[in-house]
Amino acid sequence: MTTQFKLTIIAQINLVLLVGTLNAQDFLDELPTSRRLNGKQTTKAFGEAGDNAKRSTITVISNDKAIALATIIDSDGYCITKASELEENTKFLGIGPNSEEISVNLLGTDKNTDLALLKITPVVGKPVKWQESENYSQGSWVCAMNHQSNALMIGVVSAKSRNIKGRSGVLGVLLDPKDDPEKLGVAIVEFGPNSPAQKEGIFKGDLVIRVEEKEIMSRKDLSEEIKKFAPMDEVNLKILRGEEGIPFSVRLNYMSNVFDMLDRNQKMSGLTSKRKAGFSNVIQHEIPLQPVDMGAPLLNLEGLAVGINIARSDRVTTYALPYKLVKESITKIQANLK
Amino acid sequence: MWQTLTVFIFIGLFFTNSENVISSPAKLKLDHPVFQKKAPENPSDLIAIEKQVRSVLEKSKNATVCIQGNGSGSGVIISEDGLVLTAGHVSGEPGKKIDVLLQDGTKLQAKALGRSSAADSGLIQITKKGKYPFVEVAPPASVFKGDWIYAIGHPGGFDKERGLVLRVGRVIHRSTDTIQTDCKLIGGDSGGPLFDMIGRVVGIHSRVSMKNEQNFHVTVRAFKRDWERMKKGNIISLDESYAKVERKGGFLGIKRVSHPKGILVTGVIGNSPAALAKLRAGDVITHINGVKIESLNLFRYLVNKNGPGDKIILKTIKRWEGGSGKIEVTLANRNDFIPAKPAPLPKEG
Repeated sequence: MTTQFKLTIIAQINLVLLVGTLNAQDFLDELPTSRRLNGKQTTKAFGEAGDNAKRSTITVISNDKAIALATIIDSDGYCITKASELEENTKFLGIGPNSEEISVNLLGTDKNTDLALLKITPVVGKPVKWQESENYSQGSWVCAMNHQSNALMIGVVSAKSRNIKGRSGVLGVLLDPKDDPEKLGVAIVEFGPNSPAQKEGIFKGDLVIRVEEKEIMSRKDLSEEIKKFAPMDEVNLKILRGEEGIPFSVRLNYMSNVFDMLDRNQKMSGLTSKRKAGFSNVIQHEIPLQPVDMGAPLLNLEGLAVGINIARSDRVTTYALPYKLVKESITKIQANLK
Repeated sequence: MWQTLTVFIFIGLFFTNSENVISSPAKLKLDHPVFQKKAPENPSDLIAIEKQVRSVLEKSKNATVCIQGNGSGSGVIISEDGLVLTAGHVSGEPGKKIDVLLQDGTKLQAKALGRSSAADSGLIQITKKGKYPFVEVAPPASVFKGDWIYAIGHPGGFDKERGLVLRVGRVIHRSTDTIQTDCKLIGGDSGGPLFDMIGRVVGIHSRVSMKNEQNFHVTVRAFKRDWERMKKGNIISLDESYAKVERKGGFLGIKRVSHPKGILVTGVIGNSPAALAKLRAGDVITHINGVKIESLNLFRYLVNKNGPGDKIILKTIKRWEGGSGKIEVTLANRNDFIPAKPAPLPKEG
């Protein structure tokens, strides 16, 4: 009887202690990291789909740095990745799903989709299995590998699939707002960050008087001419510095590489892809990936790839090219190789 | 069960429209086991979440709007005549004319009502007469740490081709005025709705920090507290927000958490009326003056409506002595009361 009474008291004290601990915790404590959307416990629920993602994804290395992920598309060692992340004339290496060291050859690219075809040796991993029908919509769970933690990341398809209009290349200059349309040329008053014009040796105060064959009378003239060119295109400019006319050839930069630095939402987003526009169709999802994670397959809950991650756009937006577009693009690149 | 307990420190918040507030904020019960699990365990758990979101998503989207006036933000319609909840930094100056865009791009004239710069809550009234699609607002404090939720908004501004953008996540932390989730937000989302799994508004997007899991939403509780004054077009500043809490100063002297049968006493302040009435940690208070306690809010309301010297009757389940019984307690004066131990409680949790 006495023992029982004591036990009851101990049980009660334990209860009170438990609640006491909880008191403090509930104010300070947050949901444990492992149980959050991208916590280990949650992502583990993807099961086999997660395994599929891992074994079909490789890492592309250049100059000892990971520059992109890539998707294994067949058992001969062909892979696809994001083309604009690959520097030209560089040697590429790779890391396989089980940390295998592999060599990587760039075979060809498709400017429209920003996909590149690679060949790896030796053959590692497993080719991705495709979801050929478009059976996803806003709210569908998706997953993809993330380079930094070598872990699966998850999210949902977050908006309508659609065309993302291309953005032209930029010179990265700010022009004198008081230009006189009667007078030849417009003055450069400031450079944006990473301005290719500044890099080529153009100065503040220089007048742009010609773009290719077109004479520039106003700001509008200049922006209309530049808009005709894509990022990475070479553009011939004629610059008036004092009395002297100097020709320049400038390789235009991505809009996002120059002007994102001035955009509040982009500043809130951390790193984003330099090419994130100019895709005829994308799946938009919210998996919090990095630019280096592009090129990896985007898989559904069944472990089938619905597309290839192609651009980190901002804090809430990642784009993937849908399967159909990827397939057409691979066929096109392969045809050009022959 | 312990995860569902929520604790409040001893500052009784009081709402001007207490009738609404005391509707019972019970934890949402959904059929599928994933909603009781610590984390989903397999694909079918995830499918259950997806299905649940889809079952209410269209209705949520129909009521979610883009607000253009002070930059571009988001909002959500909560009444048929077009009352819109948004963030205080989106609604802007009371009386200002702004445009509200429905999902299809239909532009409606609207007017900013009041806002709270303390909580970042704001109200807008669509002034064009009409019957608008709207959603229900959940009772205050009905969302809990770990609950699955989803966010909608117009990140980066209105984009008809893209439409409204969805994010799904969980509640990481909840305090009086703020819910933190891992639903990632960005500029343009501000003022947009956070929903529980049955499509009730539980928060309004307010601000973020750099990390993906640092997304903050204004609670329904914060809206309710300043409701009448915001509707009148007032601006509630940081200092006022808590000063205006109405209470008559009656003091009981317990720490407590919610409990299925009422509230569970977790601590008794020395020399307080509760201590004199021999309440002890472990006791459960089930009724005050014959009213069944269905929530912490109701408990707080029933205590705070009494002044010092007023008597209240508590019905309690006595954990130590066993059985249940009624005790009459004479409340002390909160302002005068200096607890012998523990040290004075912090003002705000």
